Amino acid sequence: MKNTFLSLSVLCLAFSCQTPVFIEPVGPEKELVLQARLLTSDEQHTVYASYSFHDNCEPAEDITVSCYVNGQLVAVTSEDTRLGQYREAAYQFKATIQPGDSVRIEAIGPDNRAVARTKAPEALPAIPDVTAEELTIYNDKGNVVTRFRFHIPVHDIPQERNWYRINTTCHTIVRMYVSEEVHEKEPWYPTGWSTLEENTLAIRHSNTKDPVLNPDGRESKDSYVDDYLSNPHHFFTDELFEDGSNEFILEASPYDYTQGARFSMSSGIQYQYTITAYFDIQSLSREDFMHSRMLEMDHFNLSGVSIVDDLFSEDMVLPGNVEGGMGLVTVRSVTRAPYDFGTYDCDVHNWYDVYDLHLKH
Amino acid sequence: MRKTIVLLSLLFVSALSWAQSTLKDEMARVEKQYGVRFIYDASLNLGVPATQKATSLTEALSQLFANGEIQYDIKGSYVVLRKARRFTVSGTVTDASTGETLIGAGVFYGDKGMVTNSYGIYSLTLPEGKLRLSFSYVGYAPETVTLVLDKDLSLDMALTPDASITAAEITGWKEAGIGAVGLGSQEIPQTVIQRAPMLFGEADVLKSLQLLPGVQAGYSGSSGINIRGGGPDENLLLLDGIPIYNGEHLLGLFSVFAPESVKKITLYKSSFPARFGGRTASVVDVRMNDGNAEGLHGGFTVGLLTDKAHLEGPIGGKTTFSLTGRVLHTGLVELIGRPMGLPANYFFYDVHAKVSHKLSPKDILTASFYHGRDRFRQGEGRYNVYRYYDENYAPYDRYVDDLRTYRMDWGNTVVGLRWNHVFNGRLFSNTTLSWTGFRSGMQTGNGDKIRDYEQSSYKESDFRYFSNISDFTLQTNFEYTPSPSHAVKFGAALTRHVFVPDGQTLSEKEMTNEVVVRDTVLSHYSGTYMPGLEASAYVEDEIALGSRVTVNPGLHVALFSTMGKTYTSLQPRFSARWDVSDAVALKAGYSRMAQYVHLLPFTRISLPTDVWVPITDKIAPQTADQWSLGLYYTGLPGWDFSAEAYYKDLQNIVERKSDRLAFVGADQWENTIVMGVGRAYGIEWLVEKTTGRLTGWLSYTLSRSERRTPDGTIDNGAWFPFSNDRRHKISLYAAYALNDRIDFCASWQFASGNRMTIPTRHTIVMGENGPQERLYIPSRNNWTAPPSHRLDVSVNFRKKKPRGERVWSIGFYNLYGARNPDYLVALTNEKHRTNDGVEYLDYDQIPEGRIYLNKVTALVFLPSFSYTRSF
Repeated sequence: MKNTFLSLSVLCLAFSCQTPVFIEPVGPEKELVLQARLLTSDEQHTVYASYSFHDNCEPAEDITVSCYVNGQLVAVTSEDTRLGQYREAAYQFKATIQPGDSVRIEAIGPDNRAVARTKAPEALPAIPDVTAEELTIYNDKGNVVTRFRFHIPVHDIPQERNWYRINTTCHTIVRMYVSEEVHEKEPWYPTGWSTLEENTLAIRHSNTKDPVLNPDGRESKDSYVDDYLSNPHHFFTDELFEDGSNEFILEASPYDYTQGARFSMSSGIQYQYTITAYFDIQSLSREDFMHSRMLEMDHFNLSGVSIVDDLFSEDMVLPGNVEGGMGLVTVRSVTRAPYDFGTYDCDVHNWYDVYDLHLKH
Repeated sequence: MRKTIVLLSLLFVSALSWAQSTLKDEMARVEKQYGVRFIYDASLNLGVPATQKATSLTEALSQLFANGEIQYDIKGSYVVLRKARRFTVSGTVTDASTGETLIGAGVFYGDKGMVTNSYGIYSLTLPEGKLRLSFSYVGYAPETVTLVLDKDLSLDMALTPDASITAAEITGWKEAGIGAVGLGSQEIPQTVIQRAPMLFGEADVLKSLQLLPGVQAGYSGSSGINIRGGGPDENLLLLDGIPIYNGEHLLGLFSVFAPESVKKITLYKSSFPARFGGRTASVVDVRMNDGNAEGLHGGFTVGLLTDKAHLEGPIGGKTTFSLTGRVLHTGLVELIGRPMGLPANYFFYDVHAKVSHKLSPKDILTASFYHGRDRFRQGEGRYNVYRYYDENYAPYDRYVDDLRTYRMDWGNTVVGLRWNHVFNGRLFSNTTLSWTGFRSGMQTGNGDKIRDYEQSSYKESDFRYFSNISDFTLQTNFEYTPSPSHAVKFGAALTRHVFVPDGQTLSEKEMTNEVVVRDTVLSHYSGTYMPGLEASAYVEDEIALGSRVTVNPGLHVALFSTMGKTYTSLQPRFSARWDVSDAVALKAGYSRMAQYVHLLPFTRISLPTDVWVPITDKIAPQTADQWSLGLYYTGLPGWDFSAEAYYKDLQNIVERKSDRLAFVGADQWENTIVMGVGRAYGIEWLVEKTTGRLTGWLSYTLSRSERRTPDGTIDNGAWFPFSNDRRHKISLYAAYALNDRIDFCASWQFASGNRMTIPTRHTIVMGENGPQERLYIPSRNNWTAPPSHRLDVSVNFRKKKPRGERVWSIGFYNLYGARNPDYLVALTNEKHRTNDGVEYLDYDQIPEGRIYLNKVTALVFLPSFSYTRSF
């Protein structure tokens, strides 16, 4: 009897079913999406535009984008630069935006008109000297490695809650000196000093030693959770040092700083490379901060599946500021803190100097 | 809604102010009508309401002074009045067949009376003289005793069970139901729990509550309850007055309370008695059996999933015991898992035990114990052989064993020692020392065994996680009945909470050729020790203002100290009842509750491994202010009608942030949530048939529950629906006794879907590395899930045996196979390609990329049976 019922129950559970629930489309069929992150440190800016549908997105290639700063029209463009990917169009224009400026981006298409209003946050005061130290430590595998540790002093903007991000880049200039003798043998080289290469690369720094950026000292390599919690893009608020100051600690490998100085060497040519690290402290609006952190979690979502199927994170309602459309247009005010590594010499016989970078100070 | 409530409140207040005739007015009429004069002391209270419609002087005096407060003596043309002396009659009301105390039995003198307390004790202070005292209780034959009260008396009463008494006219003081002063409370009779058709044929205490108005169920088949817009962690579950943290077995399919051990359940949704505190939505007060004092009795039940045994009886003349054990056998889990390639094992067990010892006629010592545990095991092994080539290109095989294990354990333990003491007929106390603990843990293990011609190696990793709560509590409660017009309750409690929400250990072990080369604990965290000290005191008085108005003012004061910060909370409680007529009553109530703990979900769905954490120095206690108003009609014999409206204002509620992972370690939990406010309001209608062969009820609830984060963290600070916001709920419960041997039972429930967050369209967003496409969600909980409904039926076949009874129960869950949304997940309609290169969509009916929901219905139709034999 019992087994009969048990089997019957199992049989009934086997009839458990999955059925689709089709949802009536909500909202207009086509909406204009504007996304832009304008930096006060940039002259050229990009607004990405897309048409949002219930089933997909398409580039909004037929719109005119205007930029107003403090009420003054400063740029108009109707040209899609094709710099976007296949879902969005990219409109570029030049404009000077200062901290505190009011910015309005207006996009007009055949069927849509969308306007985004935002204000550039106050920028941090100028940052005093960034200092660095060279450490020799044991890594997880017991090997001796070298690390650069940077100290970035930051003074908070008083009297208000602020949201920030530290963006780290490395600017490298490679120069070469070609003598007359070499020039005679290899005439395609110009004589004297000339610039061989100049580039700016994003450098990923570890913030595990910084109690504000990474309170638990999590390494980003262990798991998706740690990846998110390690705060790889160095977002922070002034909650822990409101109206005060804090010295941020970031670390990176020397190897990372020589990424921009990889070049082919020829015998007889003297090379120099000059490296400057830039720590850009970006002041963000609250919406920008929330938007960015949410997307970071999306990027590192735990189960590695579509966010809508992820039990471990809350569904995200992203902030927006586009009237007549969707999206978020923000301005980040940038305060730049450089660290100058100086100039290093090397030639083909000492090529490993490039990889074996040491601090001069 | 607010306007309606205010209007009804005004009506209530204005009705209260109707001019009523006082005793003095009526005496003046009697003097005029019969030509007599009253002589009395000025200290007598003649301002109380009174009426008389008599045809003679004697009858008029009898009616006017019927309550016995004033005694009269006719001397010629004078009527001499004097204040009656008062004495107390007190005792215990028990079941005559088992000796079990009866909670909530009515004890009446005329139209005055009370009900027995949680320990079956009553106390009435009455005027001297000859009087008739009546005792009644649902399912028992009423008794009436005539006595002469000229001194304090002790009178115990044993009532005899009588199945034909399906409803007792207990219209006096009660703590729950229509007869009570407060609103929003209800007692669940044992018969409803035992007879109601249930999933897998298992009677369940908490699932019975789901049939009541204002109580929303969790997912299909679960015993979870969400009350008046509250979350599952906002319900205080009490087992003999001791909190129990996790009320569920088997992911919520069963509650931890074995019905056989339960004497009585009372649900409070509003007008909370002052002695309760600590949760904002409800109090579920479960009382266990004390044990049969008359003889050894028991029974066993063989069910589809669980087997149960129950034994109770006396030990000597002064001690009784009650013991119930229950275990789930693992057959079903294995039957489902094995064909699916998921070798899993799950079982739970629980034990309820109680021993009561009568130290003296005035002292009873009771020890109660509960222990329950759920265990889940899953193991998965893979064995592979790989072909490799050595440096000489000679082939060799490498054998790889890959073993993965997953374990989860959780459970409660409750221990209590209670001392009941009767000081005198008017003062009673109970003092309890208790410990309640909840522990959950999980372990995942990976083991790789590699063997080839050269060497064998073994590598395993082990991750363990645990969470603990333990509460030590000392509480004492007093009940003082100075007169029939007052029932004073007061007491205090002190609780030491210890939360360790997040202990974890990660270890690795490596062996090569049977030699351990590495055995390391990579990380060990013994958990965040989060202590909290909670102290509370309360006082309340149920005051009869004349024969028609009763009020119950109360105050609960609580103090919670944690992490160097102390929160104090004054929680006023008030309820009033006005008997407009013998058949119509109006009630109004207000209560404030505060909550000091929160349940952090591990995922977006509730799991037993969810972590309880206390409030902190940054997270303030959650509070709820609830106003309620009710209208009741009992004029149709055998029928009760009620309508209750409520408005709840919530402060310091916690919601998960959108930009945070659900669980990041309890030390981080403050960062994962945001504090906000909430509001919930609704109306609940209930029609109940209490007598006859057909009994049951029909209820309808119209409700709304919303939340908001003023700091703009969620939806820019706009109101959004709470996830448990379900607009409509209809419950129909009917039990029909065909004869003594066969009874039928059916329940039908309909509920609007809960709220969930789903994307509605595609968009682009700006990541740190540039634009990317993703789905767009306009707001939190922006979509209402489809409604759910189902019909459950059962039939019980009873047969008296020479000793005891046997019952066969057969039931059908979701009889008509409604496909309810047990689980919903949003997906996009994707295009796929077969091996032959043919493209096809998941669903042709909708365009590619369109968002749809995948609805999973787990419990379509389930038959069940159980066999119970009692002796």
